[in-house]
Amino acid sequence: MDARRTVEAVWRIHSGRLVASLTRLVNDVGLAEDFAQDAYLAALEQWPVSGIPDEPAGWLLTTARRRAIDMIRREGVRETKYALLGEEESSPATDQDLLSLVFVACHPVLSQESRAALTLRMVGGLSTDEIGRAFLVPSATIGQRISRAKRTLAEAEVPFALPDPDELPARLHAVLEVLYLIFTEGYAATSGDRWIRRDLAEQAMRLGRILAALMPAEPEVYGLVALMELQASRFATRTGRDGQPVLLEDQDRSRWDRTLIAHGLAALARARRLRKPLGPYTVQAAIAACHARAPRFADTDWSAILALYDALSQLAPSPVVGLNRTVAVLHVDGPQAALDALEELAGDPRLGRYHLFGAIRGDLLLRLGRRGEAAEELERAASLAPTRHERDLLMARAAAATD
Amino acid sequence: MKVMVMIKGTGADEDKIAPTAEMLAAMGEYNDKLVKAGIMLDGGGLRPSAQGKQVIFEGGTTSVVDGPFTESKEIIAGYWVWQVSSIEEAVEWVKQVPTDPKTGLREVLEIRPYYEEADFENLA
Repeated sequence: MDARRTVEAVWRIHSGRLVASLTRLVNDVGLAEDFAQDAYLAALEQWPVSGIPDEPAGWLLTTARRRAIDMIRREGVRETKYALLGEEESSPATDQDLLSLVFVACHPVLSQESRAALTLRMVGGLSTDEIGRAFLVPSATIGQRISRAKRTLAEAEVPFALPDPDELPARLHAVLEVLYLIFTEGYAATSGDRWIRRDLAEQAMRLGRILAALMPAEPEVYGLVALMELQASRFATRTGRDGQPVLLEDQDRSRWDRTLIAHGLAALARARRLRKPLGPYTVQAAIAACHARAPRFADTDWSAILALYDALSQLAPSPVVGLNRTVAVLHVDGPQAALDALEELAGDPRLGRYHLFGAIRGDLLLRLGRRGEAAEELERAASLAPTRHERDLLMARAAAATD
Repeated sequence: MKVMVMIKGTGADEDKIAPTAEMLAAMGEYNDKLVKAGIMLDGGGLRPSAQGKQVIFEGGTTSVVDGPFTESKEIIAGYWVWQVSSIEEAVEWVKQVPTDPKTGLREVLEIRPYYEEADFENLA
């Protein structure tokens, strides 16, 4: 067996809690992460020779603490702040420590992209290289981003603690946003190495499940887990052999991942069972669940989906939600009603350059027999499409419209 | 990656292992760890093969055999489905599975990765 891969695996398992318990000791997340990295490097050097210790987590923590004490002795300062280090026995991180780490990594003083990098690095145990490859950014850039983020946290004196109760909803929302950003970065990838980015989506789901176990009373965490898993269940079918997108309608449902669907539906059920007001992630998960439950596209419960989009438009109004809602209107009330709903959105400048607006409008016009207008609309949408595949697809539909 | 982990014993030993309260508690604790680590997707324990059946296809005929399958070298007693970062990670988790050395029996835990789309990409 490859020793290095084993050390990496052990690291992935333990690093989050290691950084969390070190942060509790030194009260500085940046320093804690540096010490944890020192211990990891030591493990990479020693374990392939000596074998994996019986208690790898304990070994890493003891080694990191020793590094911390060495550094403090060397610098000969800050004795009082780190007095704890000499006294306390190594104690593993509590759930609260790990949760505090998640909230610090996703703190609002940081930029969105720094939060994602820091979360993957500190909680997920990914290397700078892995994060760089996943985000299509040089690993040096990720390294700088992480250093800068640690400095920002230190300068802002962000405490290593859970948010106050009155802050919690907003802070939790920020955490969920980061996880979903990581997920979509992997899932919705239009370029880059698909397999690396798939790992990124899996990492986001894993972080979501960890968070759900830490905050079992928060429905939105389960909602986000459900949303990610239900979307990811379609991973294999959403693109064709040449990477061209395959519409939901045309996907081979027998290849959807039933394990992810089952787990996602269970997570959604848990969110609902908590009997608290549902948030936007849970409502989106409920929409995804309607698709997952339908054996064939024709079996889709569009009335339920339309009701959920109505709810979502209240909870988290956005032009994209409005646009997706028109698709549900089409299947419930027909193309004319959908076109009317779409025209209400037409004034929104955010949709003006969004290719899917034109793609949907073109499709509706076509269904109404207005072929010339449809072709024009589809061509315009093609000119705005972000990928070659989508452009080709729209051009082909435009050409077919006037045949 | 997604892996299935199978807990296997031999057919002859099957009736020697009655699940004890102690073992169930240890397994519950272990399952909690898997959930907290965010890797657990599914899992379950299977009743003894005495309550199972085998359907055998051979030379164009189909026959049904009732359990127990005492001759079987490997009988699946339970399984998990995990999402892990690598098979090495699965090995590290499996090493922590609670076992009871007092039984003196041999147990095998087998880890098998699922097929992924990449495996089919080069098929005609």
